[in-house]
Amino acid sequence: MDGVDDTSAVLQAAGLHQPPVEEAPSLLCVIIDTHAEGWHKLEGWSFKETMASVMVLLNAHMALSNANDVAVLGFNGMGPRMVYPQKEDAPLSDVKLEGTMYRQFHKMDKTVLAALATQLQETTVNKHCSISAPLTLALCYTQRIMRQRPGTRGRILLVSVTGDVPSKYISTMNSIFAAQKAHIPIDVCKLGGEKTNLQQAADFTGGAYIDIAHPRGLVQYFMSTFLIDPATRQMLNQATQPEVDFRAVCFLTKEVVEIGHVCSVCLCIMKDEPDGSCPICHTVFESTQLPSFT
Amino acid sequence: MEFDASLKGVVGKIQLTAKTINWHPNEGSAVVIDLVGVAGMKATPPTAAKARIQLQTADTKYVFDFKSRPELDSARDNLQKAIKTARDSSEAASATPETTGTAGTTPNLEPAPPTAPTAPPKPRAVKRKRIDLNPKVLLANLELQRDILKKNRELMLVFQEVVVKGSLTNDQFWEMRMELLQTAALENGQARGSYNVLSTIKPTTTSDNKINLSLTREKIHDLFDQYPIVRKAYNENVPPLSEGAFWQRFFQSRLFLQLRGERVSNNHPYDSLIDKYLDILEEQRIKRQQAASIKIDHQVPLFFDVAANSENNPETTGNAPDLTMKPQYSDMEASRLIKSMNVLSKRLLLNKRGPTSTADSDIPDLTSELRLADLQDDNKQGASVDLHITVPNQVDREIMISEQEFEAQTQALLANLVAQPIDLREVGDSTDELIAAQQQIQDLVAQQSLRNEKCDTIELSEEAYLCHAATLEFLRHFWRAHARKELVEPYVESLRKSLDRIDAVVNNSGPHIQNETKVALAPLVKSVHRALAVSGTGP
Ligand SMILES: [Zn+2]
Repeated sequence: MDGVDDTSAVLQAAGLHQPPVEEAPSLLCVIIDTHAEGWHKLEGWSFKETMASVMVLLNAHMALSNANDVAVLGFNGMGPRMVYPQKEDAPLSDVKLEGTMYRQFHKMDKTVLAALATQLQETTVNKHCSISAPLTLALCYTQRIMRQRPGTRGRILLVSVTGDVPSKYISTMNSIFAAQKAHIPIDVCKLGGEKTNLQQAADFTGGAYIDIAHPRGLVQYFMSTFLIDPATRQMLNQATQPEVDFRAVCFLTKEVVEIGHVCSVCLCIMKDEPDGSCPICHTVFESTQLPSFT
Repeated sequence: MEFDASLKGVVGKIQLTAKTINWHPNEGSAVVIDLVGVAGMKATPPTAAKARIQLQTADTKYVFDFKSRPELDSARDNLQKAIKTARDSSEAASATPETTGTAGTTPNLEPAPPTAPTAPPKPRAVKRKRIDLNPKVLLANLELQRDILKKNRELMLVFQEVVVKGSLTNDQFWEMRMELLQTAALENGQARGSYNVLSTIKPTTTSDNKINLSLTREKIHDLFDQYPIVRKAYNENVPPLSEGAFWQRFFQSRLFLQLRGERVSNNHPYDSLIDKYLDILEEQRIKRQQAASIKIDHQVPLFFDVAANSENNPETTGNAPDLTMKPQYSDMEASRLIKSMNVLSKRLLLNKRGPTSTADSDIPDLTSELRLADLQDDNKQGASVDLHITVPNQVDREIMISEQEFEAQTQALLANLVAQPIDLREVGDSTDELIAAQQQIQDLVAQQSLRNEKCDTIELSEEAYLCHAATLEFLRHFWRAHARKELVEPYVESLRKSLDRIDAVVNNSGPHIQNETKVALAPLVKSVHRALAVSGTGP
């Protein structure tokens, strides 16, 4: 528990304590779905209870090592928003202690809650935001931290209650592939809504995808699955849904398709056979080649 | 003998040898016509405006244009003579097709044929066969299909399952695998390279301790072709030596062993007549080596001529030569052998080279060769492919609730969040729910461990794999027909039968893998049900 208090920092400054290799800093980036509609549809379980469990997770992650860091993002019709850390951080001493809680945890919890409340207050756009937006923001932030502090391992946890916007399928897949390239696993904690490409997000990046069957035990999922560091997960069998829906979305109709046509030039996916030329890149197909597309 | 003559408007020279008519254009590659293969020769009458000779072989017609009438006449007479001589000797050769040279303690040779060995009728002209990749032609080529199946056992099993026993037609099966047919057609259409004739001549020892060597006319011809030094030795020695005696001495000589790539021991008898050609061989090699440093015998565009850059010589960049080429590890004798093998391989390769691979003899414009033409294009077109994404956001699924509902829900969410401070001590207060959650996690972990460990290591029965492959075949046909809006009924019946087959496979598999087989085939069953549901016929 050296990491929780300042002991290790003091020892390190004195050159007496070198952090072991496995204590490489780990950044946990939590993306919270704040679409009111999605939470409204959940029965017997609330946004607030979810946030309480999320806070336990954040605190636990911080407690594992004092090199660890967290980031929290919220997203809804207004788009994605950085919830924690905030640009202008109040000094630690301003935080009033309540009970026996560790001051830093308390400060983080308060900041997250306040920022989420502000986001909800300012929400005026009745729209669905694609997960591609917060994913991209989270990837950028993670990448920045990884560059500032080489050796940092990043991962993303998505707490989702709504389906993705079909028209943003391509952007979402692109951000998933970006995460895959950067070796940033995306964990998905699915409390409600449609599922399609979130399973792919977890599968491609090596994260865990769980359809939460017992929301009242949410903290248990967090503690026994999502808290585990990616480096450790390689040695474990992950708790992730075994079946992955690999279906793609038609670029034209935005429908999920099982069997479709793919343009050989721009790789766009079409539900129906194109009419002589590609509707996206306008490549003219030879008529003899069209039948062999399937 | 040489005559100026142009072929198809290309200026060149006709060269007459004992066996062939060689036509060398001033530019490009030569045409070689076998004299024996010439079926007919026609010349334009003296009154005609053009001086032309037409040569007809079994499959091609060559028309040579001559500059003047006297030239044509002289060429015609010589060609006639040469063709006649070639035919006569070819007949003589085919009358005694095989000479058996028996080497050993008791020379026992058949009488040598009266004339010098000549070529059997064998087309030598380098020709490019067009390979037909038309799907219709390939589908009709049953022989090709049989060949592919013979080579690929797995495919053969699937074929038997779905075509022989199943309901697919031959064409349906191969239509899906057009690329296999095309690859095989291309492979079969490629020209075979020559062989090293010496390696096919193997002495056999008979019961009475004689060594037999079988040597056909064709082999002698190839031998002369591949080893000009043997031709030289033959030409210079056969009279006075009889042909039989020559071959007998040749096959016992050091020259033979060396050419064949065998180690020549120091106590091997030295035949002063034959083995002096070893020295000539060595001289030639040295001369060739010297010449190679000056003359390039074939033009390769500099852009991809590996031999033209310094990196081609690995020794200059610090790489040691191959072990076999190091004098201290292999004696000089061996490395000489290796070198002679390399020379032979190179010659075999060059002989087979098609006509197009020879670049024109113009001095190449080195700069233009290095220029990447497609990057030079100032015209922006082609430099990039523009994507004209013109699709509007046709589907408006982004707003799903009314404005009032949206307002109310957002306010409710906010109220819920800020109503009371969060007490983290209350999180997870329901033990039952925690246990239920942990149960789900453990189930997932268990499934995952099954997937990670078992599926890779358990070997299912061959029937299971075959049934899987056959069912997938039907599914592919089904979905293709479905996507093309064609009739799917022909495949529905097969898919239905597949379900029975899967059941049978699961039931017949041994008790130790029965459950695993069932699990492994479960996704397949699901896919079949899905297809049947789409076809509207249900399972
Ligand atoms: Zn296209």
